[in-house]
Amino acid sequence: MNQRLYTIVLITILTGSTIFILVYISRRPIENKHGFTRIFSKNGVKLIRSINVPHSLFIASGDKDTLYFHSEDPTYVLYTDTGLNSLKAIHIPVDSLKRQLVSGFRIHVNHPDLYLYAYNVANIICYNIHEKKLSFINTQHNYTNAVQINDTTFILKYFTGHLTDQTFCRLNTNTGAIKAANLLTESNLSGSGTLLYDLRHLTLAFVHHFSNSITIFDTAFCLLPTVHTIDTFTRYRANYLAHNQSAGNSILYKPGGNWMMINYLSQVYEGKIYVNSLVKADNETLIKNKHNTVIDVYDLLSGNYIESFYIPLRNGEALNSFNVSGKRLIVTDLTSVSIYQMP
Amino acid sequence: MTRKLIVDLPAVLLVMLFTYAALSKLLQYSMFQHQLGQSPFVADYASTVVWLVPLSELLIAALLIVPQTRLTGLYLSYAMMLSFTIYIYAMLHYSPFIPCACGGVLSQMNWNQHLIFNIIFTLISLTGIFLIPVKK
Repeated sequence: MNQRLYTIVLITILTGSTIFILVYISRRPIENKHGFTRIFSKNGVKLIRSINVPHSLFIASGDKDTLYFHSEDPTYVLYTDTGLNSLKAIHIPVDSLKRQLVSGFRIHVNHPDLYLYAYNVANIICYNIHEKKLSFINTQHNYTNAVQINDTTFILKYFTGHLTDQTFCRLNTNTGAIKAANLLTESNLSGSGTLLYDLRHLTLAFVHHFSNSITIFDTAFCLLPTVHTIDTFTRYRANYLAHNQSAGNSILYKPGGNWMMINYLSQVYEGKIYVNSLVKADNETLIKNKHNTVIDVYDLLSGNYIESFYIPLRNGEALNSFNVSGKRLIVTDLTSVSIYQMP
Repeated sequence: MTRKLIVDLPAVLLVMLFTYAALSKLLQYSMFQHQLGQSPFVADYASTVVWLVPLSELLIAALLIVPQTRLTGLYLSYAMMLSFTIYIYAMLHYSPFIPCACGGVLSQMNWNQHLIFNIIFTLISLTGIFLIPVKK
């Protein structure tokens, strides 16, 4: 029996050491100095209210009265008032598509319409919450990002069909016509990012995940000067491990060298871009960085860096999503939804 | 009879788990590969891990079925479940971002539920190791 005990202790040490080494190697680039500093807002965010939730939630939209969330299950959205008093569910009748959808989708609510961006099934699924009516908009190609710019138009970042090429296109839902922005084609990892739309300036921003570039253009695809986030990751550092297959759903990125995600989550609101950067600045400490995540604020049109502020990480968990609306900041993580007052 | 059932139960549960998990990963190969590619800890080794994990699970299941190799299978089960458990704990506490847990194996569970599930099966493996009679 002693021999079994020793074997178990040995296995435990070996297993723990292996995972420790993997974690250590993956965190090393984060803990390095990167040659830039942040300016922090004097006042931090103030927690207004927080609730625990049974599943990971992602913000689907928020207005002054109602907040909408979706989960990793595409068959429902949750909504609540801005006091987070009670979460109620709206069923989306896409059960038969669930298996295809779970690998990649996002939901945006523009009440009473709900848009399910079904990246891998080349459709935008529309659901009218009042009429309980489901409809499909064919996007012709699989896509990785979508935003609605008016009642009949979406801008997508889609696969052109040439291996990993992606570009932006404007989709008219009345005619089904797609107009591509051929000048914005990308065929590498810079294709991974978040597409945002600023209603106030009728301007789109594509925040790159793996480099410090933000591509800014208007709805006619006229490119504005490229903006850079304050970190020093001027180029993506990864290679494709596999190209997308005909179905377009099996892209895999192979990080190489000092790979790391730079700009994780982002949002645009009233002419400002809010970027949840994962890169530690030289004037931040590891401890501060471990208990908080940073949001960098930029002016959308000039690209100027304005300031940064921290969002506390509840239970040390990374953010799932965040949303700025007026002086209100809504944050979701693995187990909670929180509302903060902006600095 | 009852004692034999109790002794065999951990191995039976683990065989079911590993067989299901391995087949799910192999049947949803693209999804599993995609998920590994998103992981900050193993993305670098995704092309190896995508095969290594399901094949190891099948191998362990086979070792657990054969009475002569069951103890080895239980040791390896413990190593496998412990590594999954520590991996998820590390993901929750040391990863700068949490990849989507959607789709793939046991997709109905979130990360925390998965952690608890893995802890339970790690303990089941340990129990199995000590329940097998020592050969004299």
